[in-house]
Amino acid sequence: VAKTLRIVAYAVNGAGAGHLQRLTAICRWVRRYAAFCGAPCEVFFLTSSEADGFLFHEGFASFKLPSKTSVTAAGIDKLAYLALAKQWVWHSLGLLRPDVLLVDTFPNGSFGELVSALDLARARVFVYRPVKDEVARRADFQAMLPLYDRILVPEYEETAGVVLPAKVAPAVRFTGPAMVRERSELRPRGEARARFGIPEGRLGVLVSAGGGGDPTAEADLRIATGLLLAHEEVHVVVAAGPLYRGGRWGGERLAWVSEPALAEWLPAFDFAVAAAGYNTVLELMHAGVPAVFLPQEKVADEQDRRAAAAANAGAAEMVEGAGERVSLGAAIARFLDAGERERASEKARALVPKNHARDAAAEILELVLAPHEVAAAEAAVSDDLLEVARSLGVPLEGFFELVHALVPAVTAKAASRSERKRGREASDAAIGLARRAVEIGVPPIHALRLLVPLQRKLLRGSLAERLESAERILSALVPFSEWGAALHLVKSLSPAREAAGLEVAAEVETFLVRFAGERGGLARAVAALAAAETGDPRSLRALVGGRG
Amino acid sequence: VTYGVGDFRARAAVRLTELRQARSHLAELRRLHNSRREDLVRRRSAATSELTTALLPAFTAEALAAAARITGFPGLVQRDFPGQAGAERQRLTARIAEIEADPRYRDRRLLRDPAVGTLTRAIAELQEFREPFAVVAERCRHPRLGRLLESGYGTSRYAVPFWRMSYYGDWKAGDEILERFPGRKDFAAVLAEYLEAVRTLETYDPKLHSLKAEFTAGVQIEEELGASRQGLESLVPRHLGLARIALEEHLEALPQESLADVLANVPALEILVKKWLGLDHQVRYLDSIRDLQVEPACLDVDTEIRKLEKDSLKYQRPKNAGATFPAETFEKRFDPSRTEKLRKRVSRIGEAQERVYVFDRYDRGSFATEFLWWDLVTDGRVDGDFIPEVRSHHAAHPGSGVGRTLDDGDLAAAGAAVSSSGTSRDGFLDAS
Repeated sequence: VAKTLRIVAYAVNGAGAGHLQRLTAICRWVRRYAAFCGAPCEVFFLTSSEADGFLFHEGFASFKLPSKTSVTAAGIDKLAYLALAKQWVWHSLGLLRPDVLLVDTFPNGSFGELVSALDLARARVFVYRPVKDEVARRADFQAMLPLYDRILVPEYEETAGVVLPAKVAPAVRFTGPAMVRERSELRPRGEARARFGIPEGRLGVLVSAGGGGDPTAEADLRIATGLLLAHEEVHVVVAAGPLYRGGRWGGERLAWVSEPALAEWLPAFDFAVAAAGYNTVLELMHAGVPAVFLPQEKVADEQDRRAAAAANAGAAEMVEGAGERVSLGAAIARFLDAGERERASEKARALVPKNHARDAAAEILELVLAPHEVAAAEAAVSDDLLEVARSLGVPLEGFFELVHALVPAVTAKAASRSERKRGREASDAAIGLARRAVEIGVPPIHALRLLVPLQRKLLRGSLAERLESAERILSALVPFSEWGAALHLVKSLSPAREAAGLEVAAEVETFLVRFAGERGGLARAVAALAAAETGDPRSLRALVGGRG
Repeated sequence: VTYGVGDFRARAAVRLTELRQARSHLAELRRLHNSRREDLVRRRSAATSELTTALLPAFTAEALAAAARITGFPGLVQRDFPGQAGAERQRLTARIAEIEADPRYRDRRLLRDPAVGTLTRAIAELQEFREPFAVVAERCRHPRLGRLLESGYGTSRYAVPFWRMSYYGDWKAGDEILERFPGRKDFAAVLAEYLEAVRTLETYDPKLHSLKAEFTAGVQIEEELGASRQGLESLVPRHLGLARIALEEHLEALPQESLADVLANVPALEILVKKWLGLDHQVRYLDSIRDLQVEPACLDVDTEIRKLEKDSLKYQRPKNAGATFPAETFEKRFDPSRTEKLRKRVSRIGEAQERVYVFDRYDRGSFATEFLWWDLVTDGRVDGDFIPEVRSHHAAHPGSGVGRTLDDGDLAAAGAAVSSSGTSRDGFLDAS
């Protein structure tokens, strides 16, 4: 059994949700790639975010400590809390002893405690989301960077604008933006609009305050909803954010939502009026939703710079002046026009063409797993694989098993040197095989259950022959519709080292013909095979043609 | 501040105890190395046999040609193993026919039957005849017998005067021989009996020797026939074994990445090859740990023990009772951190040995040039840069391998920067 890989994501930098989402986006891919590599992976979040319900929704375990906001509200002495929080982080890391410690935003932690704790991790990764110059240039910020094995900048190099000491250059990777959902994971527009009750013919407009914790959030929401509802064709959906504690108001064509993973529902919206936090901007642009951005003032984040970049690209409008937003009406008017929206949507997609969370995950895993294994995972776990797993409603891990079972059949001489090519070819073959299985009538839930053991039995023959053999055997099983018995039959075949896949397929077909049309015919076939001491392919041959 | 002899002896005793403990742990690691290496070598040998059997399942020209093609080893065909086997078969068959026609084999029962064989009986009869004479000759055996015969003792020819010492020596020896023949009056009677026995044995023994040689030659030819027949029966397995050994030598000489080409033809063998390669690396790593870690550590500990014992003895002498030691050198010599470092060193060696030995995830290996077995075997948790192969790989592939230890200089700079900067006005940063 492979050793469990333990990853601790340090998401302690306030009550907000941005860093949590960014780390979640990366850790989702870490988990996928590690599963593909056969390395069980435990991810723990240490967080002070008050939006930690999001982690539960995404299936991550978390240890929570109170945010500064909640400590203040609870009347707890700040110095006592600071001492406690430092000790809590040290002890947590000491107990968890992570293989990888993943830190976001502040390299020395929120309490200045990490300098004494980094050696508790086998590898240290800093996710360097661009921050304000005055924060990035602090001596302690810069001095901490060399202590990290990898510095991941989740932006494109040409636009990142991060401050780095020269000596850390070998550890820096500009991975590109990281978001919680791939384009292939976004819900279809119709399904998404139905979820929010947006009627046919109306413009769906998202109004978002990001995490919702900003003091100006309520004022901005009121201004935006007021201006939008003045237009009869608009249906407003307000996502105030998990940290929003302001007032709520009702009205016709107005709905409040609290989706933990709003990103996958973004296709519901024609445009958005939103704060300009890292995740909000990138998710909207990635989903092709034009937006009017209302930058908020933050300690470390430069929301105005990010919003300006989107506006300059023609994908968005930016309205400054928190709490007033005097030119918001004009900005909204631009996106009421369908042509403008369409043009802006295209520009938004071009601005954030890809989600690079997987690249960041690969960089992290290369610190603790063999690079060739990670390369194979990168090649095999493609968008197509995600899409087919989702459309068939089967777990991704099942596909990984099928890909691994097919890898030995990828025989090209050059490919055998490249794990990446082999992984990709096997992945494509797995996708094609699963789709074909469903097309010929195997229920999706049973398709992978049958295909994985079947591929482990068909050891001889080229990849194409093995795929054809599997398809022929499944086709022979379909008429019976006895999936339990089918699985039993497949598992009872022993790995046919001496028989080619196509021969085995032909023998299974011939054998099953005898039982066609009988009630419980497949169960009888299994019993007949068992009676002939199956497990040995020669028994099957004896039953088929008496050649034994 | 200085330290006295009392301090020295007290601290030296403690340090010696610690050193001896470390030495005992290292000895245990040595012992473990031997048993673990033996086990890994046995498993590697089984894996090799499994692999070559899978590559060359039968001793046919087709199977040899297929294995040669798969492994890119033309020697398997060029060395003409079936031809060699055919020639040996021919030679053995001819020899068997020759032996079967040989009268010594054909009449084996007649000649060498234990009960009625003519040779057996002739030998038995001759031995029976010579036995009484052999007993007489044996009874007369004496260191001085040759001289007695030469000087004619017991006969009128004996002319040694009584004042010579040899006269009494001859007399004594004659009496000793005579004592072995009760009933004989004097040495002359014994002498006659002895000379008669010797003459008879000289007649019988050449004949007996010839019969025995004939018997042995017959037995040898029977044995040769058995061996030839056995050789014929084991001909195919033996030559198959030789071909597999040649194949094994070829595979061992192949660079790791070339094995990928072998597998490109037979992907079903991938796991067998990986297991074989993995075990081979485990054995090599275990040897490196012993040679480059265990042995140098033993040497260091032994040297320090010897020096400490010598100094302890020196400062027990009355003339050194007043010796003093400067604080700096004394503290440096008995610095407790040295004990801790030694303990960690021994522990690291033990961990490395343990990790290398217990590894069994061969399926996760690779034939890629950038792949290093050490990183997989130790799960990247043991610094293997003491092994030249590992060090050069890590130099060529920066970023791979074991987790980096934090640089003391970087850590100190960060600590200084943090303490001089302060975190924020109220002690913590909040981005929200």
